[in-house]
Amino acid sequence: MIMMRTKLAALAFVILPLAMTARAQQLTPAEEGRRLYLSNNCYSCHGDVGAGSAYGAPALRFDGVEFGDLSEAIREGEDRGMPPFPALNNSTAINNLYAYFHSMGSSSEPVFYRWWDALPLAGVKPPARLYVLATDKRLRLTVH
Amino acid sequence: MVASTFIRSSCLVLLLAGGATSRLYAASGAGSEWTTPAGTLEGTRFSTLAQITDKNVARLGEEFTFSTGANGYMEGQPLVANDTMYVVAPFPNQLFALSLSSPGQTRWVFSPRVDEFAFSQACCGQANRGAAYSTSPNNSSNENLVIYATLDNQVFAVNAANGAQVWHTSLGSTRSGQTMTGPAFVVNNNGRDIVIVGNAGAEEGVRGWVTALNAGTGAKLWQFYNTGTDSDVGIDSTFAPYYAKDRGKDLGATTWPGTLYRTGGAVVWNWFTYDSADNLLIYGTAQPAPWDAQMRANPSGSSDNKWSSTIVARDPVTGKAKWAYQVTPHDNWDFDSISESIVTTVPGFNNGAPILGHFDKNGFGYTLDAKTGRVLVAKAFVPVTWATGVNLSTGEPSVVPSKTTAEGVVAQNICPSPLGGKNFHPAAFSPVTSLFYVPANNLCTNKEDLKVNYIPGTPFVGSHLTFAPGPNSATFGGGRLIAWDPTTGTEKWGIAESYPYVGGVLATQGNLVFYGTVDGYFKAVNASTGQVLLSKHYTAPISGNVITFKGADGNQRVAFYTGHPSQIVKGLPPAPANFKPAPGTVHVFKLP
Repeated sequence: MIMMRTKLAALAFVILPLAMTARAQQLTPAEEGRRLYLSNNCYSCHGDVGAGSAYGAPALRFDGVEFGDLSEAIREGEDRGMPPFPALNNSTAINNLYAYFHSMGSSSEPVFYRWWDALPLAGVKPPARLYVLATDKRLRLTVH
Repeated sequence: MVASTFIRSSCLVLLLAGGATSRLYAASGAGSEWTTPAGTLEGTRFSTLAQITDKNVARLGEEFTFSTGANGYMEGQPLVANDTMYVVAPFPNQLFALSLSSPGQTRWVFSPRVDEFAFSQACCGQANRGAAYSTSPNNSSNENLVIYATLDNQVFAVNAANGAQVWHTSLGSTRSGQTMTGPAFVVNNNGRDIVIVGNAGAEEGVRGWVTALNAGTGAKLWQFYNTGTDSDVGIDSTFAPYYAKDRGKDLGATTWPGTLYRTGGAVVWNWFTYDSADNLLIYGTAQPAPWDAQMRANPSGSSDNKWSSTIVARDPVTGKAKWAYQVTPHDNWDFDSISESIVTTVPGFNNGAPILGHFDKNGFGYTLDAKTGRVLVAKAFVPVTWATGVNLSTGEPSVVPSKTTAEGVVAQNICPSPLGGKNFHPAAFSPVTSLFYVPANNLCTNKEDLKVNYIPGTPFVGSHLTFAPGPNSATFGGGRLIAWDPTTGTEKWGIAESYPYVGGVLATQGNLVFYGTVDGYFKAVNASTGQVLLSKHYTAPISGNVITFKGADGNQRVAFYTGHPSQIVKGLPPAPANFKPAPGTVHVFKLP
């Protein structure tokens, strides 16, 4: 039994770094949402961090974002100057944007600007989330 | 070809200067009415009225106010003609006609049908910079017209007597990101009025143009872009830029990568002026799009991105470009050249030939020869860090390499900021003093360029900014009213203000300069010395431009707008107590 635990521990020792490497190549939904927020020019109207701008668009950071309202705005636009965004009209993009808006003000709010980088550095707090593949519950770790 | 062109609502006058030395010189000044945005086509914002003087201005009192009921940036000014004041409100751009014989009473209101989609397409507030008056429209009924543009790209001509719509012309769709926030400008050609307008939306990747309409019918007479081939821009063999850097074929296309010029900005959202001696319509173009300069780098040659950030002179009848001076080639800093180029003469300078006074967002005050666009003087009027000066031989700014911008890199301490050393608020010129009076800003910025995708109807900017007060703001001011000598490029005197966006200035024969501030001060100062003679405080910002006129009783009035503040940015002093935005309101003052 001790040997098994040692082997499992050893396995975890190997898997953890691999998992870290794999995880480090992914952004969280909120971080992907931040990327979309920048790459689709949302920030120019709604503010760099959603606090509004001279365009007069809603300050999403303070106003709150309902999922249904977000979906509708992306699909149909808004009367007072927001066009529809067909490129964002899919569940992945909307979920990611929703996650981003609801991360605002929390410690996990992404704040990077270099959206075109494969892995924008600023705002991605080390360590990244770790998921360990193991059969032993004692080795199943989720680190936030 | 214009055989005879007369100047609307202004007159050439011979004036005797006050002070120890008497001089005779010619200047252009408004009189009892105010029928063009700047009072005169030359853009002087100078009035020959002199009932109100530096001796009695302290006794000015408010005669009446009128609220438009609309929230928005009041960046224009009223018109006054035939005992009526005309006020264009912020979007949805109602036009109010107020009686001056029964002060403040509404004669009529014109409510245009507008597209609400325009509201959040304007980058910088739903502003309107004013209407123009036409007395020679040459339409079927020949009535006088008030002509103005609405935010949603329409131009309306309204019967000045009864408020009935005479015509309207649509000049584009808001779905492209284009809006119109600038003033209408009327010039006369052989007894027939032409109305000139420009578009807005460089932050949306809108391609800039200028359009001339028949004032009687609204029919398009000509339209030229400010980017593209020579044919697009209206350049032919008569085009004669002064500087070698501005000469060449199709520079409006070849100084861009690929076809980026088609979303290249260079719009025209601010003031037009007219040089009658040389028959030139003069205006400045906005910055190139996008703000991310790296995306505008041209691997095939020059990256000047013409004709953005340029002063352009055109024949008002044909629209053909006569000269152009690109003030800030390959702009990295959002330095629109949309400031007015005021046409005047200064005795003993430039051999008496007309000059232009132009105070650019880039922080340099330019004196140019009006006929050719040659730069005679170029000196900084606010703290400037992006360039060390302007080479008068080549016309080029001497750019500081560390202040150029790049994607993902924060360029620090760029002065002035993208709000400009001066922005839309217009300067004035007084022939009494031969000085320009300039409302200046003192802000700096850190700028990080970002890659940006062009998505029609969305901002095409690509920038992350932080602002900070400019150097020596405690003494120089966050804003400043500067009395500027155009012959030497020096400040004669200045008044430090707490905030940038000092309002548009009026100069008068009474040796006075009037202006307002964002923190609600309406001031009158001695034009020669800068001594503050009157200071009235409001709890709303003053963001428009002061005018003066005669009321029905023949006495002089002064008028300005209060309203929603123009862009106030973080990093400034906090707003004063009781400071609150309010609907756009006209205030009219007179002597008791």
